[in-house]
Amino acid sequence: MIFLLVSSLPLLISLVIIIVLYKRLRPKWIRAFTWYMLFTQIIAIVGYQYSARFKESNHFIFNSYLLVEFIFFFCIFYKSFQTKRLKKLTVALAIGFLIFTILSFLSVFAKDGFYVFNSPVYMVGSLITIIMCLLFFVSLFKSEGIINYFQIPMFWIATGILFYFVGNFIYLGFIDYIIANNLDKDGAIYRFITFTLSLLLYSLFTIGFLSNQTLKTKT
Amino acid sequence: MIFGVIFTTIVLLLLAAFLMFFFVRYRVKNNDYIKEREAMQKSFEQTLLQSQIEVQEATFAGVAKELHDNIGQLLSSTKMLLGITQRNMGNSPDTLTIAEETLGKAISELRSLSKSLDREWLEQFDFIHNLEAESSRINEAKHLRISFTHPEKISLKPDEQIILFRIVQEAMQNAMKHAHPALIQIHLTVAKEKLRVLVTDDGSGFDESHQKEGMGIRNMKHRTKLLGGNINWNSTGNGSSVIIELPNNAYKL
Repeated sequence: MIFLLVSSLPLLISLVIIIVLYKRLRPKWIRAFTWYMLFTQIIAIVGYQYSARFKESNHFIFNSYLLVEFIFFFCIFYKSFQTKRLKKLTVALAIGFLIFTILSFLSVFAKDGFYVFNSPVYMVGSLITIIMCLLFFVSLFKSEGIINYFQIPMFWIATGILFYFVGNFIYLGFIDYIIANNLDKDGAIYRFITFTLSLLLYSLFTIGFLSNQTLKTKT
Repeated sequence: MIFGVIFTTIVLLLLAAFLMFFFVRYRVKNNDYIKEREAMQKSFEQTLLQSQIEVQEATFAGVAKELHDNIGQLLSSTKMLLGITQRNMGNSPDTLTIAEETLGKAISELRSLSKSLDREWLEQFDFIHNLEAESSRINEAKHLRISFTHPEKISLKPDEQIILFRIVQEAMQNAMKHAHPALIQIHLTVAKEKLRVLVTDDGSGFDESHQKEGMGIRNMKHRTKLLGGNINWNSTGNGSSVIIELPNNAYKL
């Protein structure tokens, strides 16, 4: 339980800050992060408790969570893109991801059952999310006029997401192999990577929410 | 194997960090370039406006010279001839006397007008004196009354003084030409590091939704822009007003 608390600390701090700033957040859709982070925390608690009580794999919980997480990020990028072309691309990738997820779940469940982590879905979702982050940066990069990245909440959020998924990509891509060969015996490496990346992710989220606050006060 | 995973993760994270660094650095450079370009554009516009105004002032000076040296001299000669005729006739008719008086007034008006257009003459006085002289010139005609309230002293750079004077002069001319007022009030105030000139009249006003932007209005806007200020027009059923506001750097106390 202490591990859960410590590993959730960055998320909890970020959650408290977004709740405090909730009504002042602009653009308004940034508020959706409150519900996303709340949901993430609930899933973390449920997953931990399930595993601790029933001594069974909690991967089915996180398999379900993956779908919600990636769809949430796709929605966020859809809102943040300014051009119709990028919005259409986001919708197309989201649909593609959904189809892939359904097919993947069906094949994985048929083969390995419900309690195996669906790493292909995670890999594809991560890859699409990384592409969206890069597209977001390119669209910012190409935008006209004077832009201060540091005052754009989505800049910080996208940076956090980029680092998080890039950092997790390799480990979770090889997770089946690592588990099968017992390469990370007590999961210490995984815990270290996840904690470090979570710390970075939620710290950047928090800066994003606060930068939005600075911008609002200035204007 | 696990070290390979860790190593690749670190390499990818470093790559992402480098990418972010590149994005931010490029944008900072781009922002500097845009700022520089905007400053150059602004400077170019200012120079262009300055040139336009200088050309206009030169034209005014030419017109003033022509009025004074040519038309003024012709009218003076005519007045002199009328005077000689009056003396030769001994008992001249009243109409001739009235004609001579009217001609005298016309010469006086012409001289005043000529002076108000002459830049060299304007530069001898400060803005307040210039405007007082202009108000007096119009008040003398007794078609309408102009009141001018102002602080005791205000100093503008000579160039800025001329530009502001021309803006107010145009506002007064517009009111007289289009609104036919009985009273024009000019309030010059300095508050919160801003120079503010309010020109109000009790004329017929204008329909703000159908306001046409003629050359006079454009000139007023250009001149105000050159001083780094802003100008606004308001109209009600009881008249209209022009508000000119100049920032701190446009004047010196």
